[in-house]
Amino acid sequence: MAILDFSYYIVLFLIAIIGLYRFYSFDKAAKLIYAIIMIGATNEIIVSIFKYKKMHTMVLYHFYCVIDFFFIILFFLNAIKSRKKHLYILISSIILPLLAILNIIFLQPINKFNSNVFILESFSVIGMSLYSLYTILIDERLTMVYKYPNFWFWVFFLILNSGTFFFWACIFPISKDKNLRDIAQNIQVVINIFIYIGFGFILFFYPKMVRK
Amino acid sequence: MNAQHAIIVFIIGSVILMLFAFTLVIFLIVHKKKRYQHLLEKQQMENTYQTQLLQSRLEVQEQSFKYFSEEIHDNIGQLLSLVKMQLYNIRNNSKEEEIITKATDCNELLGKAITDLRNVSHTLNSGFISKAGLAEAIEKDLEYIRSAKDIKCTLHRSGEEYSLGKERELLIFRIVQEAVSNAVKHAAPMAVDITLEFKPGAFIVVIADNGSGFDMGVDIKGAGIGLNNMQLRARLLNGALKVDSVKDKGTSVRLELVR
Repeated sequence: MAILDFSYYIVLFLIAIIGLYRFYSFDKAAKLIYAIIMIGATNEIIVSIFKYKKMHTMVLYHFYCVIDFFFIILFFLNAIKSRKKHLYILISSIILPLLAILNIIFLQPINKFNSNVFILESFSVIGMSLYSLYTILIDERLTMVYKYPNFWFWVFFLILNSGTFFFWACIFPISKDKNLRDIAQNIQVVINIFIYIGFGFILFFYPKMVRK
Repeated sequence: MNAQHAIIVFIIGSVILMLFAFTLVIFLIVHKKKRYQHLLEKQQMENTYQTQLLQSRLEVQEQSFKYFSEEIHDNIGQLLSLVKMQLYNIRNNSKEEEIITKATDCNELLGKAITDLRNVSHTLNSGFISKAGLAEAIEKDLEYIRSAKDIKCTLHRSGEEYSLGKERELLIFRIVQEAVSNAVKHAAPMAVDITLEFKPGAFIVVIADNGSGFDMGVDIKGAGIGLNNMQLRARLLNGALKVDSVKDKGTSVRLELVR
């Protein structure tokens, strides 16, 4: 196993421990963040098992992407305390699977990587992060932003998706060069490691930050 | 687009997007920090303004107290002394037993009234409070209440006494005066106990009575000017004022301030 992948799994494992340790102090949004990370980790483990058994892994991403996207939307709706939360949940629970199915039927079959959905997810998450940060900007009562856990979660989502957006948009759909794809994938793993370390820190210090 | 172009677009795009994200985050943190400092300054200015306003109000109140004190002492006091002298003359010059007895009784009552008035005059006069000191001034106030209301008033002192400064002592005295006056007016107590604790780092004064008390949950919301004045004075002293009361058991007012 490459050192990068190994480090990535270590980070995910540590977050799993931190999350379990702090779980009862989390609010709904933090619990969703923990769930998102754990869904990602579970997907990575299943992908590794599939690879080991020389099975097709692309099919997993078709399911994972939709679930991950749905949980991220849930997180943002909870974090910004949207009044129309239930309506948006209903809409996304219909639209996301529908788009994924349409993508499978017309654009990227089940045995191909579903980069279109990943692009859409990245684009939407960047938009939601920007909107969430805007709500902080206009909130007069909130002054010490760096003591606000959701601020960091939004920032990490923004950076993660800004850093990996072109990975889905350029490398996967265009390049067939395996070396190039590997380089891009390694860059993505490095970004993931840094961002997940950030998530881990915030989850670890969550009770202290919320108390302040 | 060939592979080389793809990686260039990928790197440049990612870097630009991430830079944008970082810039945005830094801007947000800096903006919020500035806003926080601005709010802090505004709050400080408001506090200063409120304190100055409070001081002016209390100064005006002290001026009024001083005026009343002087009026009582110099005008009403003098007049009553004159009446007392006249009564004394009537008693001495009269040969009728009934007039002598009545004049003697009136003279005694008048004497008591003059003493009470003098006490009131002293406790209203900030100059006297500064001169006599906190404990002495409280004792004087209690003396008046003892004679006028027949309430058992006791002053306890503990620790080595020290001066808290004229202005602070005056404010503390006014708080004590207000608390005692509230107890006497509203709670009909049998006894009022005042304790002055002179600790090395803090000064504590507790005014406790065994009167009718009140319901902290309900009655404190409609508390009048008296309690409000005490709170304002405590704020000027940077002290902590706590009121505790149990219905039919009594009330205690505790003021604690750093020396």
